[in-house]
Amino acid sequence: MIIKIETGRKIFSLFLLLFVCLNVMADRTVRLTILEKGTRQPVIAANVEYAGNEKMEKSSFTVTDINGIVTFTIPQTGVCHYRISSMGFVPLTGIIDRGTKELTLYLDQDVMGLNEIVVTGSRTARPMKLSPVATQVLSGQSLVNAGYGNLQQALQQETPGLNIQKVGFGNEISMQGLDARHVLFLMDGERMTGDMAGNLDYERFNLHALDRIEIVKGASSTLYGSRAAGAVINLITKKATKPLRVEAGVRYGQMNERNYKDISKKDFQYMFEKNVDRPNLQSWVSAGARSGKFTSQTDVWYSVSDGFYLYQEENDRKVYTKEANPFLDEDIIIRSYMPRPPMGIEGSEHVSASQKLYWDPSDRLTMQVYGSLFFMNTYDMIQDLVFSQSRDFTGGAKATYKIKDWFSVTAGLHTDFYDRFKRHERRDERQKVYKSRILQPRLTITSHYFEGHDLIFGVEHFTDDLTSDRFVNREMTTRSLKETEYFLQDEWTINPRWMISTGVRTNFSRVFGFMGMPKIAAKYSPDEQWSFRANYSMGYRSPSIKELFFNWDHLGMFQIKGNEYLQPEKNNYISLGSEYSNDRLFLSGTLYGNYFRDKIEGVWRIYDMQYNFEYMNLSRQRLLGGEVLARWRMFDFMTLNATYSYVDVSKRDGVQISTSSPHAATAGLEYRLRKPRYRLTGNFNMSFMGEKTFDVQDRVYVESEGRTRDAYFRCELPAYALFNASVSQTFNNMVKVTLGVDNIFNYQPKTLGSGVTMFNIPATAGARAHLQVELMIEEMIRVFKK
Amino acid sequence: MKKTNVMNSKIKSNRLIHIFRYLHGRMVLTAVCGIISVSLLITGCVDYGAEEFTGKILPRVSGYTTGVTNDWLYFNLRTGEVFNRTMPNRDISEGDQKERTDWDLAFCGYRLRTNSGTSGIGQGGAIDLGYGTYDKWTSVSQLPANAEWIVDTDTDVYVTMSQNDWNKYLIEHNLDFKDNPWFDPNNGPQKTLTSANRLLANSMEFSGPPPVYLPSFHTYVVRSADGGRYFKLQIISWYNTNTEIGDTGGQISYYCDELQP
Repeated sequence: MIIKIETGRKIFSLFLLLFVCLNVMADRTVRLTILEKGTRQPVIAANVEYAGNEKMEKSSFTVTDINGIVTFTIPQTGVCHYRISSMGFVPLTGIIDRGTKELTLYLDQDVMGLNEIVVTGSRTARPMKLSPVATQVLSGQSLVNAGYGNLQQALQQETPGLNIQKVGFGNEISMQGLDARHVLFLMDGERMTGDMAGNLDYERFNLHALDRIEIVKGASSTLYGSRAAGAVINLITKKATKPLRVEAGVRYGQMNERNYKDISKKDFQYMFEKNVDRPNLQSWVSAGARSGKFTSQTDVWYSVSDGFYLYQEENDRKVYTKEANPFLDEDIIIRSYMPRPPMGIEGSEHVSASQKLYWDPSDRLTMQVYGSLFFMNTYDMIQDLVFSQSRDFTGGAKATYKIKDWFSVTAGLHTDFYDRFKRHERRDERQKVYKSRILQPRLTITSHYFEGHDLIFGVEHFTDDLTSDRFVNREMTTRSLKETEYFLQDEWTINPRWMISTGVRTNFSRVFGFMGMPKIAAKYSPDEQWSFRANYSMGYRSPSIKELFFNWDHLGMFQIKGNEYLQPEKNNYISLGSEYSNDRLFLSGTLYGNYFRDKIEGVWRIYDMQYNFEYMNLSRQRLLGGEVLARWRMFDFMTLNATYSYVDVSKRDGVQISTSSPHAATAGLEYRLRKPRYRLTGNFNMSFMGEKTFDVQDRVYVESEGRTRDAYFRCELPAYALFNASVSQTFNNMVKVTLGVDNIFNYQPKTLGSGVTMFNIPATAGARAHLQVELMIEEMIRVFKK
Repeated sequence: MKKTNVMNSKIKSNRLIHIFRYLHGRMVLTAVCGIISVSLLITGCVDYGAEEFTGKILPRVSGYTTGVTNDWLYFNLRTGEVFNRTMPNRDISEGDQKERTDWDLAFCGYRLRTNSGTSGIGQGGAIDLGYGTYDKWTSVSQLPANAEWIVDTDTDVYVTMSQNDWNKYLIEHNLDFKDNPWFDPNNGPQKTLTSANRLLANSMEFSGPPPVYLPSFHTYVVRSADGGRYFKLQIISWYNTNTEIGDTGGQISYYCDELQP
């Protein structure tokens, strides 16, 4: 009986204790509402980290729901320190007072962009400020807000020293004095194929599917291998962070040029006439969903653009300088007696779609499968009864398993299949003219076992197959290149001020044998505002399959010949940089030197009674340059961006073969107004390209010798600046309307180039307006549900 | 009350997630269907709506690619007879055309001759009636009375030299092959003056590389060698409708019809 009474007392005491505890816990529950500053829109899926100490040790994590609300229990210490972060916002830290049960906090947009997480410079995610390798980040959303219609335009307007020009075969990208062969484009860290002289179909990149673009200048071959000798441009696509995010949009722009009226089916060139006069129209859908362990992201983009002609006012003029042609007594100027024909800028129609699926079955295992497809018709301005079609499929899978907290393994397989066709304009038939395949398995191991060290070891194999009718007797023939590469990198955080990154890559291929590429980068940050970076890295570029195996006779006029004895070109890259940032100002300056040897160039040579264009390991080249980036938040509502880039490319025997301008600059002014249920953004930006002076191989008749000689004529192209303006308004966070004008001052190039083959001009049709409407569908659903 | 709110909130939340999943599934499906439709439209179902071409096509490619610089195809528009139909200079050799009146119009690549001036003893010649409007011209009476008929000359029009003829030229003039290649990447292949009609030389313009042949789509009138009949002419394309993909063209498509007296 006594035992029963005691047992009863114990049970009663336990209940009492539990009741008290529950009450105490209920007292310690706090409800936070996270809203965007200005608009007071809920910030969905914001990360909330909280702990009972200022150092945030043993912190807990949670995320806000679709109303921006999160509820959690204050730690037992009774003090609660929090840190709230969300992509595109400045992280917010603070303390929750005792007794606080409800709190509304406001996140400010990260206008300065200093809190971006970057991955390209080190293959591991870390805040931009903490990366030992300087990385420029362009937010996908801000590029869309600025009114850009495609990636080419966005990159050219926002990146110092990057230039996309129209040349004979299409688009040609250059950066810091180097051409497209030295600029590696990646999509989510993976390579793509189907390039023309290093230039991909840039239409493949859906601007509306991009989360951000990371640009790392200088040699990054240690992490990315061949072609990363000049720069890496990594396009990181969106991944859903909210339960649902759906956006759809349409953009309509003025036509570039009306070429035909009253088209009739009787017309011989009926299809051509229709295709060269297309609307400038785009539409897209971006849909992401996240539920439990699954995340899905779908992006679809359809675009059609209008072709047009560019015209040159005066006849061509060639200057053969004594500097580039020492055998001349003086400069010779030859003017063409014929007017230069107009240059056609092709239109295109394309659709791209991508699907990514993520599955995170546990804290230790994450998996991803992805695929994309792309179809494009290119409507050139040539009336030859054919137009080009291209298609591309990419796919792959990745899995990361965290074996220990300090040790994880990632395995991945990436593929890209690209085909190009010629399609008849009067008969329903097409012919494949180009086929390219890449297959790239990769295994990486990361470890944080040693304190302060982030170690990454990787092995990857690269198979590149190219099938073309330009290798053997105009028959479709395949040529392959296979390389196996190993890389190791250690990022050592010595203390909060010092950080050193060292790495090495070894490359083995049957053709080129072994190579080793080291790198070392150091970062010193004496305080929160200042940081200094120094970097040395070795880059390399394996000869492309075209440079190795091409053998194409052009109607008996000339021959393009590959060279199977080519060796990879190598370069040493050194840079010094400093950076200053505070809440209102960001300044970054970099000086660099890039020293190439065995650079592969194409050279015209005459033998067998004809011209032959051959690839050779020809020259050394030295590039010295500097770059300045500035961002100034003058007022809460206004931000100024400015960049300047300078590069000096060495000449070879008085000949300048680099087609880049030494000077390039960009500038942009952004105005923001944020009110509840209303946003206004105004953008005015400019890209400037300095004068270009380069030499083009040719032949000239030398009167004093009575014969023709190999010679170079100098091509001089004037400086120009393109200005864009756009105004974007968002109503109720549901509908965004953007009105903009590209090339607002109607710049039109007066000179297309020089000589028959050399075009090097900005492809602009002049001032053209566009209207863009975007719908945030998930917000509509949310409001509807309410 | 609070409990009810929580319950409602949970139900709402579950419904919402369900809707989200449903919608996302639907959207993906719609997107995929959309892509397939658009892709088919673009790649498979390209709209081939053009009507059959009712004009004329040159019987063969003429000009430097046959190995002969002055490889002319001659047409008697009055009788329909064609000379040099199968090979260069088979029926009328270069030079012989001058003394004949049994041809009215000739093609060498995209250059044209009429039986007039330096090309022939006939009363041929050409006038330009302007862009398009081919069907508008049906009768001789519509032609402008004061039109200046342009006759052929040998100082205005260039044709591309064949590689064979260029090599012969180098040998004859004792010139070095290496210093004087037939093709120059910045200036194209070697050219030479020929006897041709300078007005009709405007009917098609060439530029390149890449090679672009751009018809003017003007309607011209060619006078016959006997001076009594008139034929309207419009050059349509460097290519013929049966051109194979990858073909370099040369079998010109054109309209040519007689104007009623």
